[in-house]
Amino acid sequence: MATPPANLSPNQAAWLQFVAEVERGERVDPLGQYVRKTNQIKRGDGQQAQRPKFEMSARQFRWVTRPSGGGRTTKGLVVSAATADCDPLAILCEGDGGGGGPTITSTFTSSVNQGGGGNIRDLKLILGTPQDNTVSAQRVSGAGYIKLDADLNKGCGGSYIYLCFTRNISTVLSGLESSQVKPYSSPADIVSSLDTKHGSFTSTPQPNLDYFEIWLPNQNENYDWSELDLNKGAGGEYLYSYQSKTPFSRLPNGAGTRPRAAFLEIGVLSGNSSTITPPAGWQKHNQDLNEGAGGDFIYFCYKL
Amino acid sequence: MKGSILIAVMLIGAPLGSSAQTVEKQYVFAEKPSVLNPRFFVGLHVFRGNYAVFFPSGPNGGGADSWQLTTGLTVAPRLALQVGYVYGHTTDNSDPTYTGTSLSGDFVSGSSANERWTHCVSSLARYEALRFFKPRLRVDALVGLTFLQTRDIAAGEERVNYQVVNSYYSKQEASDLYATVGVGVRCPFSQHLEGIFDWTYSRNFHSAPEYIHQSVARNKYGLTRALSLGLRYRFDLKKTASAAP
Repeated sequence: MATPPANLSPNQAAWLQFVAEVERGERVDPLGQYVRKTNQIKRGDGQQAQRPKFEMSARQFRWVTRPSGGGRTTKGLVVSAATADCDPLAILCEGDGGGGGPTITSTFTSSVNQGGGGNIRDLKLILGTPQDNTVSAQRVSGAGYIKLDADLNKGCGGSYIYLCFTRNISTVLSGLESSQVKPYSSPADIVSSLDTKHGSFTSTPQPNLDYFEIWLPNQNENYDWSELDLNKGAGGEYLYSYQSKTPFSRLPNGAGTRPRAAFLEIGVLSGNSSTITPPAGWQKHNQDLNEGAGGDFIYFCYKL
Repeated sequence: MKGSILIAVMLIGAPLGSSAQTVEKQYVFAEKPSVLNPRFFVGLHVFRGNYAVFFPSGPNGGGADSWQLTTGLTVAPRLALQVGYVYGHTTDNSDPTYTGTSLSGDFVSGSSANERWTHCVSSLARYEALRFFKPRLRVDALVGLTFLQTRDIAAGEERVNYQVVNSYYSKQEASDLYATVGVGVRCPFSQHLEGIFDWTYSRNFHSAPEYIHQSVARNKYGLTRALSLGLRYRFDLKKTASAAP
């Protein structure tokens, strides 16, 4: 479930509202990091559009009061670059956050208390919103996977992409890893590691040998699977995700193996700074899933 | 790599620019020259090749984006034998790969590294099948063998409060042999210098079911593609009969 930060300050709540309004196209981010969700970038021309990305220290907030008709006024948040002058349209720059410091805000979405009990058995990706009723959503959700309600392209336009998980052996959809006869690719195996790799316009990266793709069901009638660029439609880096179910680590110099802990929970952390952290007990995979595309800083997280 | 390919395309394409608008569909099957003139040649190419590699742990994609060195000999009026070598080395390091806290409040982090070496040797016969005059182009049919040796090392550390508590290491090697066919286009710039573009497909001799080919090569035949673009310099090894005293 999505867990907004507890005890939101006015700046934090206003920030989340600001991002939501930019995504709906109601506001424009003066720094160009956040864009409306309908903004799509096609990869086909070989161009890799890059959007700027800023830590919160690059921004400042100002609360302004503007007339809204009928003699009434409304209070709104102006978000600008840290070096920007006062908004000339502002009637009143109030003290609350006037040139105030950065407010780091994050949202954590996790599998906790979802999908029954036990470890995470498999991960899949889906494209599109529930309203879109896409083939990938039908197949993955229809099979019993639980969707983490956190768009992996948040704030940077592009496709809606969601991570899904299952704890139930009987619902695991075997991807191409089982037909590749990869070790530890059966439904009974448990996810024990995540990885991400950069690709390019002309090449899709290959996973490390103990890993295989977090697959997206494609649009074919039969069960075929595709890799999914996690920045699909959003520009930025070509990023692909992988999972491993190998239950051990190989020790150096052929000294045998050591058991590797399995995933108890999986989560997605998003926010406006690269320094955001998940709750205690969780680990953050240090790859921004929106790298180069603007928008939120987004990370896979897991609990062992 | 893309920049290198672009530069090579521009280099090779420049002499063709003026005549490209008026390309005549005029070509002949290459004719046998009156005197065989064996020629030794060397070439340097920008190379991008993908291959299906069967590691001990399972099939995976492999190959290299690198430079290719070629050398060969014209052994018959329309036939040349060519050997090519590509060396590829890629690294993928991440430190920290992950960070977080344990339930007891300890700071945990980890690192990972992956390194892969690739040696690719191809031995091809080039048969000149077509010769165009406007623009001046030679079209070769290519057939031969490709040998690929790949070594992959993955390693990493797990740390608690910055102290290493676990490390891992995995090393795998694979040697594969492929049948290779393709098409090559040569554009002579001078008596000795040619631009050359080769487009080949390779298939691993390792037998595998169709779904393996689909997952690794993205087609049911297990064919993987290699492209190379570069320049070739031909040396005269011996005088032609007409030039001899």
